[in-house]
Formats: sequence, structure tokens, C-alpha cells
Amino acid sequence: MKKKLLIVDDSSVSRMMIRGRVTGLQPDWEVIEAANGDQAVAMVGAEHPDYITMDVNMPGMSGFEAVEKIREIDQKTKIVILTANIQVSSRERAEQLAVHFVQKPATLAAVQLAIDYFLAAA
Amino acid sequence: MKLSALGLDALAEIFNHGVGQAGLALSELAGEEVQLSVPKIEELSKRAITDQMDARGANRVCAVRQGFSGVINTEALLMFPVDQSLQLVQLMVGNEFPLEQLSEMEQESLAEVGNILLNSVVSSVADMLHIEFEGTLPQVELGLAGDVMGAGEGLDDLILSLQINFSIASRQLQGYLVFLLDVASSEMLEKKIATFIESMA
Repeated sequence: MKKKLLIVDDSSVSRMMIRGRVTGLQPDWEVIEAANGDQAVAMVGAEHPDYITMDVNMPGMSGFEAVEKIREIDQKTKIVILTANIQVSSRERAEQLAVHFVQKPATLAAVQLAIDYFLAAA
Repeated sequence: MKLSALGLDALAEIFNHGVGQAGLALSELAGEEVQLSVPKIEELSKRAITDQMDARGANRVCAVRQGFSGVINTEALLMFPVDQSLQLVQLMVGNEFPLEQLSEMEQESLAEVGNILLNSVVSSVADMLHIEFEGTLPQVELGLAGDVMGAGEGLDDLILSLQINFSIASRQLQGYLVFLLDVASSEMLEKKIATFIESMA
């Protein structure tokens, strides 16, 4: 079955970069987008993505808060925090939430790291 | 802020590490090596910074502003001459996206470049001083350097200025990072630096 990736980022440029790179590496994946945490939570309920890349610093709900909300309704989706906030505290928060952490910029190498995590056996 | 020579040296070392992280992020974006100058840290007035930028013919600047709060509150500004903004956009998204798409996204691209660079520096400072910052969303502003820094208020007040020059083989870019700190935050930064120096001894 076709895998579905949800990109969550308030920056349309970042979404464009991530989408472009994912599409190049995994042309069979369906890619959908959300511009904030609220949208992301709603889309997880409606679209049931297999994978999510999640920015942290967004208007309204932060990426970490969005992950907590998502986990209330979905425990299976693999999530990668993809952020410029590379403070130790941010990495620790990702660890507490049992999600993977990849630092921006969203280069091909960074996106590949996220995909490697998604495709790794659970 | 009244930092001793040792304190200023420690601050330079902390920022140097952060700028190194920012340089790494830039080189990942550019796909080539980025040459970075050693950051020049000074306590300067907004007027002095404006004068320096004017002297370089960069009185009109493009700035990315981002607030960071925690035990220390600061407003960080990445400023660069306005004619370099398109080069930064190209650096951000590379050549794989069509030009018309780029111009539509110029502001957002600049915001994202600023977000990555400012967060690289601030995250490094946070980790080395064992503090935590919460960042606001990056805002892009265009205008005279003095106006962008809010020169109307306290033109001669001293602020912490970190000047870096960066160059990439294909592009010459020059940027200023400026951190605006209130009095309480300046005092807290002094204390944190003193603790950092003690931990090194």
C-alpha cells in the first residue's frame, strides 16, 4: 500500500524543500502538508499518515504539543522532529516523546535521515 | 553590560562555537565550504552599528528578527545588505526550484535562513550556559539599519553586537548578528558567563 507522509511546518519554503526531496527519494509516497499543529492533529485523524515530519516553532501549538495531541489519537505513526531549534533541551524533549530528532536545514542528507528512521524496522 | 576582558573573551568563545554551528548549517545549504570570520564581539551603540553599515554602503538592510525568552531575554537580529537578499534565498533553496517560485517565497525563504542561523547561535549559547530559550517566529524587515534596530529609542545605548563575515566561493555575503538585551538580562548574562568561567577553571 502507498505510504503517506504528513509534513508539518509553518514555512511554505521548508514544506516545499522537504516535499521536493522526499518526492525525489520516495516517488511512490503520497505527501500531504499542514501549516500548524492544529491542522496536523486534524489531518492525522482524517488522513492517517504513516509518517510525519514535525517542525517545533510554529504559531499556536508548538510541534511538541502537537506530538502529544497526536499520540492521544494515534500511537503508531512514526514522527521525526525536524527543527532549527537544536538546543539540548529540545533534543531531550523529543527523546521523552519517543520521537526521532533531525536538525534543519532540510537538506537532502537531513531528509534522508528522516526517511531512514521511517523505514527502519520498528 | 560591563564585562571584564576575560568575560568578553569567554563570550567570544561561546559565540564562536555557535557561529561554527551556523556555518555548518550554511555550508549544508550551500553544498560547499563556507568561510567564516572570527566573530567580532563588541558593545556598541545602535548609532555606531548604523554608521558601520553605512560606511560599507549597506545602510538599507534586510533583517530577520527573532525573540528568545528564558532567564535571559534577547531580541536577535540577523542583518545583511538588502542587495544580498536574493543570494541568501538562492542559498536556501538551491537551483532546483524555478525563479518565479522563488520570488513569491522570498520573505519566507529569508525568514527560514534567519531561523536556522539565529537558532544555531542561540542554541549553542543556551547549551554552553546551561539555560533554555523559547523562540518567537522569525520576522523579516526591510529598511534603514537604524530603523530596524529601533534607533528611535536609545540611539546611544550600548547593545551586544556580534559581527560575522561569511563567504562562499560562489557568493560574497556579509552579515551582522545583533542581540538586544534589557538591563536585567545583561546582568543575568554576566552572571552566567562568570559561572561558565568558574566551570572552566
